[in-house]
Amino acid sequence: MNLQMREVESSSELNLATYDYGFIGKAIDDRTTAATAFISSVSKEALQIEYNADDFEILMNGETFDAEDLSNKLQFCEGKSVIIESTSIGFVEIYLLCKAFKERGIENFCILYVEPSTYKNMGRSKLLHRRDFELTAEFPPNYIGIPGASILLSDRQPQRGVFFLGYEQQRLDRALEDYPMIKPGRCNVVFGVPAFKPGWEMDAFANNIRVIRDKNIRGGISFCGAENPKATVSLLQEIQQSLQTGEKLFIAPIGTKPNGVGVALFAALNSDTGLLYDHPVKGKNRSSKVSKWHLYQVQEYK
Amino acid sequence: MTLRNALQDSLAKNRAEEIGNDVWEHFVIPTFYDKLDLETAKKPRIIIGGRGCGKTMLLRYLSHESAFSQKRQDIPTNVLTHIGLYWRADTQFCNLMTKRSLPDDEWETAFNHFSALTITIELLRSLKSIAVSAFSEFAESDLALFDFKKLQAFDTNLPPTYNDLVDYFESMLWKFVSWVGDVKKKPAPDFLPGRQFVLALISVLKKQCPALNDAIFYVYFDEYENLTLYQKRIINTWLKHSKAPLIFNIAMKRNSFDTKETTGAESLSDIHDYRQHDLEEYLADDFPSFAAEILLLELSMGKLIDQKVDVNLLRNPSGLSERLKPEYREKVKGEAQKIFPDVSQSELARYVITDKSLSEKVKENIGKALKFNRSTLKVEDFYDTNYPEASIVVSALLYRKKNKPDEIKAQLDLLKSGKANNFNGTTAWIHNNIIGCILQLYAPYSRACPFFAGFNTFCKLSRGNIRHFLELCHNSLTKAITIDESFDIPVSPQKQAEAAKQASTAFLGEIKSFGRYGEKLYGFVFRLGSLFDLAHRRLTQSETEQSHFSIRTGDALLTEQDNTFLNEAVKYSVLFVDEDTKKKNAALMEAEEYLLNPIYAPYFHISYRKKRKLELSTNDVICLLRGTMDDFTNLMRRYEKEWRVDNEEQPLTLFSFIEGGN
Amino acid sequence: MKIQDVLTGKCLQAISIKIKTKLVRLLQFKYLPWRNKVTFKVPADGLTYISKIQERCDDLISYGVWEGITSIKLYKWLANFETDEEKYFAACLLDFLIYRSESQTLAMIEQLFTRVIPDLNVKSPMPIPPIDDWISHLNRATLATDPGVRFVAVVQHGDHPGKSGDIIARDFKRKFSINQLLLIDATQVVECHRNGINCFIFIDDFLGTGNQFKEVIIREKIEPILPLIYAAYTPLTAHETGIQAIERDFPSVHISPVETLTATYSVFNDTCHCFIDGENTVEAAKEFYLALLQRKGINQKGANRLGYGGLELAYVFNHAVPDNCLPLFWWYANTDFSPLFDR
Repeated sequence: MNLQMREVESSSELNLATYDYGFIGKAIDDRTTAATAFISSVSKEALQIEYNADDFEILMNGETFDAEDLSNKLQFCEGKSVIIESTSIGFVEIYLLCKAFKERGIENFCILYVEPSTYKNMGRSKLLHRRDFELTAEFPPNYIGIPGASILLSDRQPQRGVFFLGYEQQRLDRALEDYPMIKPGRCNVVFGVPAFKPGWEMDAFANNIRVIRDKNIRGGISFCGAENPKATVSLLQEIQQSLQTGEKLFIAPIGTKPNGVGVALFAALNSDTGLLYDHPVKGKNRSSKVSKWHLYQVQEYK
Repeated sequence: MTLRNALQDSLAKNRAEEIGNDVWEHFVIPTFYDKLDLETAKKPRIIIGGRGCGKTMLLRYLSHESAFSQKRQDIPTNVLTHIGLYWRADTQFCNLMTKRSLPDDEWETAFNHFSALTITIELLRSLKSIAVSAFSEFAESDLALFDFKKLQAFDTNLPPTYNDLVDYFESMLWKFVSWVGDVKKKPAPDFLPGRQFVLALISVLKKQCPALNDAIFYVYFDEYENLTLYQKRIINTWLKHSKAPLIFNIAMKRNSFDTKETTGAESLSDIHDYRQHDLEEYLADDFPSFAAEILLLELSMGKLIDQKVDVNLLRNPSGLSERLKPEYREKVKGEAQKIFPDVSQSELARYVITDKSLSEKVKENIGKALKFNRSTLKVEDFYDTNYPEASIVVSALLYRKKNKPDEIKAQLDLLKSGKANNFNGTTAWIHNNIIGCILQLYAPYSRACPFFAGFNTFCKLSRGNIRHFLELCHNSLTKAITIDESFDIPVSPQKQAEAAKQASTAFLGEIKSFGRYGEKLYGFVFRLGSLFDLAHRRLTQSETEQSHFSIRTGDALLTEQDNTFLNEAVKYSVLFVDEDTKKKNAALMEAEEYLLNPIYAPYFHISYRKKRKLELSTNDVICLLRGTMDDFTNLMRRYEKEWRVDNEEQPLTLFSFIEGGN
Repeated sequence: MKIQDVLTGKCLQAISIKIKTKLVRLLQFKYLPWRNKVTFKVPADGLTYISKIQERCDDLISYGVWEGITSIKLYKWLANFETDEEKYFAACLLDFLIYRSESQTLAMIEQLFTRVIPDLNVKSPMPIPPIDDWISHLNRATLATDPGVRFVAVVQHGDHPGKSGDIIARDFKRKFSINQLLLIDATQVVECHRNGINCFIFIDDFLGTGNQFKEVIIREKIEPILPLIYAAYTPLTAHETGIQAIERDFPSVHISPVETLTATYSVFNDTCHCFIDGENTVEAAKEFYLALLQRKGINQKGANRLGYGGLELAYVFNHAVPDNCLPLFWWYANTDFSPLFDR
């Protein structure tokens, strides 16, 4: 796999040729509105895709089917140019699409990501809650397995976990509290450094360090660019090479979306990798204003 | 290692995972251990407990790795009548076993098969544990003698020997996991018939090994609440049909037993089919001495203090009789109190009067109250440093319509002359109001109120949660570390109070991780806490220390979702239901009293005691649960007006606890 | 009319702004005591905040997120602060501090190679053959032909070893296996150019005011050849002041840092949230800070009290503390004061 990345200040600098198909999600805020509109403008056909975690189904352009059938459904993409809009769709959709592309022999595709300018702060008693952010809301998240990337967490089988962390401490806390079979001694945590903006990484540090200490997570602390899927993939490849014999790898992509893109690209190519994910449903207007646009060009994806 | 690190290792880290499944050397027998009736009862158990109550450690203690620990020299002969098999379900994996174009009955069969695999593997491992332990009647050589040919009736490929059987089942498990991950592409394995298979295995074992004649296997299934409905029914069925030699037990959080249905016609009945043990209730009943023991043990094992408790006594069920003696309990509590001395009411009052800012505030409050009454009496008529408690409560009394300043002064004079009076007589002006008034005095300051200090207070704040208790102690001792790396003991009340606030803040943040509704629970607690905080700032202090509420009828009705949410709050011990009112009004959810977990009290600067109740209408409760920001602001403003709250001294806005706009 | 109005009105028009400011401050705080003094206070929850931040920093150190700082160093620094106000002030700074451990610095260098330089090459194409993957292409083991680019450590001739630019260059070599031949120092630029190299990427950890870069360019006589070469300056972190200075002085140099610090990162800037807590203002915090420096015997003068160039920063690398950082973090000249970082 080859991954080229570009960052621009506005979509007009991207100068993209028209794609045959663009995969988009719902427009619920400034960024996703801008991103989905852009994809629609550069694609002959924009297909809305959404994954239902409870039913393990995909809703794509009005049709519902099992997520495991996505590869079959995307036969029409073979030999075509495709782009995924990752800001508006969730991690699982990205992973399933990558997996489907791999199965269909689609080796070249693009992924778009629009970076936020700010995240919505809770504005609470400012001093003690400076780093509280409202990101997920409305529908309660839950850790549910993903077809094709399942893992039975067990302290009987050697397992290595890699947690990509974001601003919400409760996601890591829940994983380790609800699944004590996960061995903190064999868990890596990854923080996004450099972050989207200097200093933003402290939100992730501050909000997660207590959980790290409480659970005594000591499998290693790593850093890779918060908007850098290539660095994410490199890190995962390095960790994969360090696995002991028989040790199974699972990844929890509960950090930034670009890290999630890297995880999806890696996991879809390495089918024995498990994914631990809590399927959050984004809150409305959670991240205001568009910052930079990122285009990730995937080549020789096999 | 610094003292700080050593303290953290001792009190602040969850070392359960590091200890592993054999907790024999580490487990402290809880004082309620006999209530579990493990030796004789053959009925299945439902073990209820949330985070921090020691449920997982208990279940690991009951499992074969601990019971047959290689570190255990002395194993009683009847130990085989309780062979524990601990099964902590990976519910994110179990949740995958639904839908995905497979019919429900196929998933049920699959889950039964999965259960059989997991229990069989654990059962086979238990034999190994027994064999390598000090138990003399069963050795490793006995393992090699087993012949499992008869089980080939279920699967012709089953190897007949022990070691091969273990490998085979582990391999079957991972094949099953692989199939579940990709049901459309991978062929389904041949499914074993769940419980039937396990019983057949046990039967084979008993027939071939006389030592196992009396063996009874107890499966402890943990994390029941996150299973799907059909999975719960299957587990319920196993529970219903439990009898020797295979007894099923389940562990879950409070209020999680949402279905008693089985796969058959009959549901579970709590009188006949199981016994329920609520660990948090047991702990709450008798918490202080147990908490003191844990504290002293952890500190002495970390070599941070001298040994004050006998480790062997704590780790042996036979030590319980000694530990339950009143003299012993007083002794351990006394040792803990030496580290975290409690603060009496009169001491609290003295702190106020001897503090320049606080005493000025008392006088200022009296002055304002006199002005409110248009009284010509002076502050000095009511403020007397020799009578700090009375001086503190006076301003609240002056705001009450029924009290005239002259009358209050007269009562004060009676108090000073040693005669019967309303301050410390049956009217109990001091007793009823002092804490509310003190909390109110401390509110504008950055210092925490010493009301939150003391070993007994820490026990009340923790309410049976060992984790909360240890964190309070950890934070306090951290603040007591001196420059020369020692502890300044006893820890001052001020430091303890600050520590309590710090811990309270941290635990508040954890609410977000409480299950699916975590974030909503977090928002709800902020609203509720703010409302209680507001109530505490009443000038009259007429309804003092309101930290719990009941729901009376209003125009609106609580929906099923509202009740589910309240249920979640109870499940995660964010709210406690008052058992007394629950028993009296079993049919009416709306008559129950809900207590906010006292661990959040220091953060909101409210009382942790159960004193006066706040009655909320269903409309108000709905507003707290799911109202918009505007709705909630209006509610607060209404109460602020109704309660005549003093807002002048607020260092932050009244709604500083609350999110800034949806 | 109030005295101030007279003094700050027509009478002072002829006097320089600097003197005016000093006079007004004197009037405010010394001669007109009836005027409200803005003092730095500990807000409600302040003591809890202090504990929370200390605990957090301790944990970050213990678990390696802040690898390179020791708990002992942290607590010795904290012990410098005695009153609640001083402790609270220090906690605010710790909360705002950006510290780059060695691992984080390496992540930034990786970002440089995988994002920043490739993006720069697209925006402003370099006169070199295309490079798909910079790290693998420039690998010391596999590099076959000269790619036509050189990485220049921003150090001056005569600088002692261990200057930041050197350390970054060392990381390029050791951690990313960049072929050593591609790493040069500023003294070799002119000669390389004579030998046909036209593309130079200047590397550094921190760009503050831009003065150091300017000195290097001038002293090593690179300035005359700038119009003839492609020159990029890609510090890991840059302050906008320095970026603007270089854009002004050397407009042909392409500046592309990994992280950019704007005015918001200057702790006493109006837009900075470091001391915004509902109780204090930046002015009060600044006054408090200047008085604190005096009390602690930190004898920096003038604008340097706020870090070199008056940049007021709280940004530190494990291997180096930019002198644009507040000296409260690194002051070493007073043995009674324990710095958090060593310069």
